[in-house]
Amino acid sequence: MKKKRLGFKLLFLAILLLLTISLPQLIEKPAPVIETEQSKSDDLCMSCHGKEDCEIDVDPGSLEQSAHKSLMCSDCHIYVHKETPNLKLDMNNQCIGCHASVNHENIHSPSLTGGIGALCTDCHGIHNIQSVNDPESSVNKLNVHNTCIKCHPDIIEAYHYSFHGTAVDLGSLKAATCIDCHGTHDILPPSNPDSSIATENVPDTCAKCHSTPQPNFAKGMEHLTPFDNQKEGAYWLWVVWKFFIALILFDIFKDCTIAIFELIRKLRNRKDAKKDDHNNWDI
Amino acid sequence: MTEFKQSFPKKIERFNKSQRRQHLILFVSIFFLVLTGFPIKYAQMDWPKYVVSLFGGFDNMLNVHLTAAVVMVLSGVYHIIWLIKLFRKDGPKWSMLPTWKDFRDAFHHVQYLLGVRKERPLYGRYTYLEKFEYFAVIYGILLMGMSGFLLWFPNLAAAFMPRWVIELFRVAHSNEAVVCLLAVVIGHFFWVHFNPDVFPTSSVWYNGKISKHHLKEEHPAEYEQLATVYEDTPEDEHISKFANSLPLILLELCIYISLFIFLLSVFVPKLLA
Repeated sequence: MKKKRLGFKLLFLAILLLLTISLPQLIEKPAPVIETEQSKSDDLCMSCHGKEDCEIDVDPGSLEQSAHKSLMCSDCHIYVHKETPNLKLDMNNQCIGCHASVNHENIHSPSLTGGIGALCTDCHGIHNIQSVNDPESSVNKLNVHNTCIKCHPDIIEAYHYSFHGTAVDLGSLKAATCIDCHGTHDILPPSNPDSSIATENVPDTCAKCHSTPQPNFAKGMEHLTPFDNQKEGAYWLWVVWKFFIALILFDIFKDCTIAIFELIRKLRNRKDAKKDDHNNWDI
Repeated sequence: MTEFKQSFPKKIERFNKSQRRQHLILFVSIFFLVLTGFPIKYAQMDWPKYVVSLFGGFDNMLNVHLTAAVVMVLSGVYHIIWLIKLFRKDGPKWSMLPTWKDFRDAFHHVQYLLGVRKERPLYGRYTYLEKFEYFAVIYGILLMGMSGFLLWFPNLAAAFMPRWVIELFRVAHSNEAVVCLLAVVIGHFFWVHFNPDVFPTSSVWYNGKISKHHLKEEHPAEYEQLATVYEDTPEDEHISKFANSLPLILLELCIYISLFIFLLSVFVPKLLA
């Protein structure tokens, strides 16, 4: 009887041990739908998704240039061929799995916005994710403003108007882009005292490039155009602009009309000279 | 007893070597300022990127702009030093200052252009337009130099003024550039290049010399003054071969009229916007 009991006890312990080892894995990672050997094979995925007529087609070319080209499809697509509540949000968690050190407490973060916000893939791309140093990258110095305006289209006109935007448009590697002032994974609204663009922090943000944190840097807003009457100084910008346009028109009127009338006068003098010659001949 | 007079030279030196050098420095610096500045103003168009690639990148181009700006300002400093030296040597010469005669000349010139009067105004050493241009250049260098300096060192500028005021200087700099370019390319170039009397170019800027004929036409009062020193002979008048060229006059008339219409179509809507 005692021996039998010991046997049961041992069996019970063995099952308990087995469960404690395997249970977390069973809960956290549902068994892959496709068998391991197959899931490791990107070729199998691409045999369908690499085709253009596939509903969810993947451009093999963009994969080739991706910074993640050494990863397997299944490294990110763990829920392959399964319904997921939000693929993009799930993907974000996959990104964080490897890029855990990235601070994601920013205005774009789902946890701060309460909604979905902007996810990793919205800025960094999907299958074409590239290193920030790659000129083709959506977050490269010279491209990043085009990525931001996908959601913030209203700002682009003012950015192109500014000297920073002009310089970046012409390929400057020194001038500020969106992220130089607003930050990257630490973007916060100006109302937040930790934000790089909170009024009290603006001088320090400017001083990242412009050596001294002048308090005057915070007086007046960036993205100022002559047409934005909401902002301080926009009216004076408009006045100065109009004044110089008037000066340009004065130039045009003065110089063009003088040249045109001088030339007309020359034609007339020519005619008069001929007439004089003719009269002289008569005499 | 008749006084012996030297015969009138065919060509008279209008600007001396130092004046020509000042003009050359100013011309070269403005050439590069325009070449490297307008791509920044019109960055949204297609052509600026070709100019940028010519300099091997934006930051290089901007450095050329800044260097040319320093050269331009130095040409102004050179001019002031030269003026001080000249005044010390020969006493002040005020021939470039505007007088009442200039206003009368301007009115007379308008009448001449409209065909009311037959003869040109009797300009002295400098016509009213040349005097206007001289002061326009001073104003241009001061405004472009100062606003450019503040934009070059926003840090220093921010020690004295809020940021939106610095932005005002950028608008001024960017638009005054167009004022300068038009004044040079349309106004100045007409008198020294495209005017059929001097076409294709006046020689004043490279050898300083003006022909006796052109002096007589353009600066009759100065000519009269010189005629008291020199004995003039009616012959050997050197007249430019384009002076009365009908095709050239008609071609230029077409170009200036279309340029006038084009510029108005660009800038009038901007004034009304």
